[in-house]
Amino acid sequence: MSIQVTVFAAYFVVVFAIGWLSLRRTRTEEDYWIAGGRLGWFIGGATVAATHTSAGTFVGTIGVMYTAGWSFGWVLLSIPLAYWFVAAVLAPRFTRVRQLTLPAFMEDRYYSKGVRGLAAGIVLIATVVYIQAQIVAGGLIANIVFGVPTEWGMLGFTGILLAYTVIGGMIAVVYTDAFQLVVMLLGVLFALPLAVRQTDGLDNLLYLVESAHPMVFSWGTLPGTLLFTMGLAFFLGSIATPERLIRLYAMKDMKTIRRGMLFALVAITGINLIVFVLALAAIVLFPALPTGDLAMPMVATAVLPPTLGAVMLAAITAAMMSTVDSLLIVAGSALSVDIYQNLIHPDVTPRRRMVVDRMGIVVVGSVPVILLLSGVGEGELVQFIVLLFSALMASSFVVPVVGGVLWRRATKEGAAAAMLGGVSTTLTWEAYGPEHIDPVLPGFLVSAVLWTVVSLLTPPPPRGAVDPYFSDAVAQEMDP
Amino acid sequence: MKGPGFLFWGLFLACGLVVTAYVVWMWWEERR
Repeated sequence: MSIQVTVFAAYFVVVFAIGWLSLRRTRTEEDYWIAGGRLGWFIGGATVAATHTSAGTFVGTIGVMYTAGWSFGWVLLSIPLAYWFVAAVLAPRFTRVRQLTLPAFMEDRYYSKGVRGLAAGIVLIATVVYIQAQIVAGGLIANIVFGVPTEWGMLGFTGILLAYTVIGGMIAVVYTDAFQLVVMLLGVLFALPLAVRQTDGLDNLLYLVESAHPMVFSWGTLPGTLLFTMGLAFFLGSIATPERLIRLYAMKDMKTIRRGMLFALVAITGINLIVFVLALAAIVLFPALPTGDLAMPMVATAVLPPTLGAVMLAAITAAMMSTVDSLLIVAGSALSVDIYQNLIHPDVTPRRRMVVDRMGIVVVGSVPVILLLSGVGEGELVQFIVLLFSALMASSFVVPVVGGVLWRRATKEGAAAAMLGGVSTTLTWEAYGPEHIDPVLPGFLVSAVLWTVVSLLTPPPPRGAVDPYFSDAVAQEMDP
Repeated sequence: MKGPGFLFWGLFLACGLVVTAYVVWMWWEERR
């Protein structure tokens, strides 16, 4: 137990130190929200990978492996394809005008403060749900490592997260993310050979899984439509979530983005593949757990030697923290930059802005914990909550963001209709729709149809608003 | 003993192919 506490204490000290050092490099709002737009490929890619890899990757995967089997693993392929799409199609156009937040892009491209406010509102609400899912995982880990009640664990993790994120902003977040990615990589790379040895080799592990649970290696566990729409949900969700888009603004240039995305997709794919194999080991080693969510912490405490077990638990914690800190930045900026400073109080002095920025993060960090402690929104299978977040983000932002930089004719009314239609369809489908089709598919389709039809029925956008995103097209039109 | 076959190993192969294809694209893009 004491080794675990030591490893965690060392981990937290490094995270705090990074937060503190970042304070000195944070002078402007641009530093605070997009790390000054100066990141290189290593830190840029690492922060994308660490943000992508959530507690759900470690804690939720085993639950899904139990119920859905290895065929679920194939959904993973959609993720590198999504990052490729971002590097090749979206980023070159999206980054032509560098903004501080995604809603600010929406205002710039769609020439409307209302569209920006709507986008900020959706980001805020969806993010709170997602942060909740991650904090539940943090509470479980604290319970296992320190033996404290889950509620205390949730409070403690949130306190630590808020401390370095509020102080150091995006610079603190990207550097702690890079450190947390290293912890995650160390955790899984050490855990894999040890867990496989515990089951007498990979061949034997596969044999044991197959004889005890023949369905794990069968295509029949997930209907083809569900597998496809889950893949689509991951693909769409990996493109247009605000915490990913904002990292495109944080990186230096397009060459950096292409390399950063390569680093990110290799790290994400590698970590996921190793976690899948660890999940198989957990199925063999712990056949009778009350919930699949407990399997990965059990591997860390029962399979690995104490020090490595502690590193593995720190890795799961790092996955949670590196995702939540990024969401705090996104939700905090939506609240303080996009809603307060843009709509409510536009004449804030620059000095006060930095205070308002930090207050925004404090507010969006406290609300999920208060909701959780009052018993609202606790979920069992973290991965599926994560999946709904992706579906909500995808159905509201993929069409207006990706479409917005590809089609000049898209209007502010079209964008607003796309966001509202996407979100309401996703939520309605989740509540009442058939389960074998992921809500992202109807949400995305409704969003796309409304965006197109409403844009065509409303007056075209003013040239000045869209020209910056289509300068190549302008140049070609002007070419005789 | 029958292994899990393509369902299991195919995923590793497919991931490797996607990463290789990305590297080739990046190299081509930077040479342009």
